[in-house]
Amino acid sequence: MDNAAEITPQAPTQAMIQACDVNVYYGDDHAIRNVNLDIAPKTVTALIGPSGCGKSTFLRCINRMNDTIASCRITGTITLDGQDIYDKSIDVVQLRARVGMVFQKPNPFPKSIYDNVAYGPRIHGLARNHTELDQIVFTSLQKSGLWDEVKDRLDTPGTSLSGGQQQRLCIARTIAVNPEVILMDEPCSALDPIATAVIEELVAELKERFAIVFVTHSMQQAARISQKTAFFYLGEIIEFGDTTQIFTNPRVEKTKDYITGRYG
Amino acid sequence: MSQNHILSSFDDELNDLRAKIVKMGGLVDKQYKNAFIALKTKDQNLAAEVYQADRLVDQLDADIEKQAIQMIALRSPVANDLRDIVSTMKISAGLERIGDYAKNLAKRVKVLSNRETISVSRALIKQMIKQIRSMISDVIDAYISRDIDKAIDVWRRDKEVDSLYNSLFREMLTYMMEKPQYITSATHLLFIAKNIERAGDHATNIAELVYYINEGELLALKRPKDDSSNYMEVDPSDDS
Amino acid sequence: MIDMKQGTIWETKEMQARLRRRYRKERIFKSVGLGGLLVGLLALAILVASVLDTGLSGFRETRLKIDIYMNPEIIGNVKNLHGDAWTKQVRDVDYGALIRNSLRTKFPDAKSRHDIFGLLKLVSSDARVEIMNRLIKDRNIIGKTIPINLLSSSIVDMYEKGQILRSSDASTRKISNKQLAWLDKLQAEGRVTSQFNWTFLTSGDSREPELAGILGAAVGSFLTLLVTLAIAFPIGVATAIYLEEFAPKNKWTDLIEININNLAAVPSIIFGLLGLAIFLNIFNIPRSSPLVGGLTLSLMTLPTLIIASRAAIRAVPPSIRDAAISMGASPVQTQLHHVLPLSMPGILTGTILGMAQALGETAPLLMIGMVAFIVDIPKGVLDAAAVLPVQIFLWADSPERGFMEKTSAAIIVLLVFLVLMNGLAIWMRHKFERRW
Repeated sequence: MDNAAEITPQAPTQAMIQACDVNVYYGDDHAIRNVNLDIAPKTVTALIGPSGCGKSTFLRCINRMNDTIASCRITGTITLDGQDIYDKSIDVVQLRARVGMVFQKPNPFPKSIYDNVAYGPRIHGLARNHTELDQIVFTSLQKSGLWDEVKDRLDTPGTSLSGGQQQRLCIARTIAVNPEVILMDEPCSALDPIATAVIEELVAELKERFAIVFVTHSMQQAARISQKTAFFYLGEIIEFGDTTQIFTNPRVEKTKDYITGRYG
Repeated sequence: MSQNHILSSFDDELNDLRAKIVKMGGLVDKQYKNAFIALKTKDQNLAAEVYQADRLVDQLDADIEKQAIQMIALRSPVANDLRDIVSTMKISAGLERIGDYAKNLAKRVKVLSNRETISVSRALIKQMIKQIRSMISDVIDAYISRDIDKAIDVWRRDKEVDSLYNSLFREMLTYMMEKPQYITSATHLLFIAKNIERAGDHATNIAELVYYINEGELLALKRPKDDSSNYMEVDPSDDS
Repeated sequence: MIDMKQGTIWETKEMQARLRRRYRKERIFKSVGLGGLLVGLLALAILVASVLDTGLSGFRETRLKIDIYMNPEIIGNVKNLHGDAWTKQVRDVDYGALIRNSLRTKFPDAKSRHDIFGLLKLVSSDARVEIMNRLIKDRNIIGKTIPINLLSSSIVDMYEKGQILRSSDASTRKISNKQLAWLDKLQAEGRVTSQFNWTFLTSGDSREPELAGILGAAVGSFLTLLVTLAIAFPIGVATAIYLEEFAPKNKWTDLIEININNLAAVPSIIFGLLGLAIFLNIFNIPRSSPLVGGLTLSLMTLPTLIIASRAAIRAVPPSIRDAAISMGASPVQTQLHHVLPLSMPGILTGTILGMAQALGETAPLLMIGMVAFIVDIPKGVLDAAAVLPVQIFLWADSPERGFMEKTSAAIIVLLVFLVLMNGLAIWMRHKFERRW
């Protein structure tokens, strides 16, 4: 992966993604209202909030997955390393390689484990030959903690793995294209507690290299894995701050009511 | 408290916890009242009763601690709920200590009842006990009603207990110098006063915890301290 | 008022009656379903039984072993001829005379012209060709008397298969008493045999029932389906992908969708008219050819194929598309790498079922002239050809009674084709189906 060296190191305090006055409309429905959010590199940023509060919608703005929805309209700016990702000069295919995504339900391709991981490097031409591709697959599987479990059966279908393994395969597939940011949309909601813990540990390791934005319904999970937490409510960010602060002493009444489980 | 939890059993448990604190507060207050009566009337039976009743306070503290730990384990409380439960556990421990001082007071009644008491000191001890009792009841009120102003008020009143103690300290030293036969009773009275002064500190701690529950931050003001007995010296030559 | 505090008592009479009613309803529902299934199965069994009953005999033929004297006088002097001259001479031999003389030798009681004609009627007109083939194979048989297993005529065949009864009225049955007597004699000598009818599977149509074969129609059907597949499959799949994945959702696409669904229900003869108007009258494609048949049938199959393909594409879970898009795959890559392979079993099943429908279609082909009597087996898509269902239609319409069993036999062949195609569809579905 020779392009790894080209990623310029960032000062840890500088925001990698900056959302500025982002509004999202689905037809007449105003889904996201004036969202401002800075996402720092090498940090896990958790987005919490009740269902339908817009946290997933916002997540999908960051890699422009919302483009596939015809009625979706976005105003405001989101910048990645200072570049507006909605600018005409941005190639959306490249953007999605830079901003990877892991979904709620594990969705490996119905192909072999190897082909799942090799898919991204193949379509983006990241490997010059088979040896390099093998290397990428090996590194990605190892980083996702799956190598030891699957090294003897790389040619079996990815769908034959357990739920937690499938989700880690999806993570391996995402990091195989060496992204800068990984978006995770409730990646543990379909997993048992042990598989969840394994993913959480993995997220903690991945944080050392990537910026991670993590949508979750479980506040305990947000508290466990994130350094920053944003509370979304009815399409707005109610509160954004250090996770420790949000969970011990939230500044806004709504946040407090939500995280302590009171009528909202 | 702004709103009820969606899980009403959580609210029930929190209310139960608070009720136990109120009960504990009442019990401790009664201990001081009885201990003082025993001291005043030299009633050794009553003193023994106070001594026995401390077990109830200890039992309540153990109950509260157990329940709080269960709630932390099972409810995974966060934010104000977490502060509430953890602080309540600490408040309970504080009350238990305050209760212990009352027990200690009762223990000393036996020694003191065989001796002549010093009238001046009795008045001061009476005032101190009155003060500590009002602090306890007020701080429990503040805890229940989430009244920060009242908590701060209690917190400030610790100063008065301290200054009463200082007066008593000075008084006793003088007595002991003048009449050595008073040394035994004066020393015991000094310890009693010191314990009440410590109880006042615990009440102040509780006031700080009430503030923390509500505000999520420690009380930033400087603690009112007027206990100058540590540096106090009284020379026999002094003209006091 | 229902007393909610008291638990429901399930043991009361009303409750038990309710329970019984529920069970009874369940039983009735089940038996009605089972009954419907049985009726369907019975109808199918009757159909298959009747077709097999009349059709299976079509796969057998009757042969009469006749001693033929290869009279050199009739054959002429051919011994020293070679090449074209030999072929020409052999073709011109009056084989009819050979048969006639041999039969007369065998049955000297046939004297009158009428009798001799009846004698000749025992064997098929194809008997001459069979003798010629023997001669071509071995010229040394000239001058000898050799037993040849000659194909019987249709009436003898029918009599032997019991389709003409000796007991029926001699004036109306096709076979005369004398002919029966001769046959009895041949039978007694063990000269009447029954064997598998290769002719039926290896030759084209004929006016003579005993010579008629299905191969011409089968090849015609195959070529027609090939054209249909080559045209309908790519267009259908491409249309389905475009409509499902790329087309904007608006009034126009809605209109197109409604029209496609309606087209699937249009009577097939309308497509025949369309084919007649466009392919024959405007483009002047040769009449009766598999090309024009295939084009017409592909028009008819397209809507079915598009609908089946769209359903298959829609059945691909959106999570797979999300996964591909989020990996940075372009829309076309998403389709080609993921959606299409996953929907292929469904698309193929739909295609094969559409093809099976096209295979059995008659009406539109009548409109474009595929109803002609064609003896030759087609060699390409531009040759005139018949197809299986039209062949069945033609034979069912023929006056000769001998074609009756051929019709049923052809139906059997068609059904075997359909079962094979459906079997292929099921096999493909199992083979390519992937789990996600």
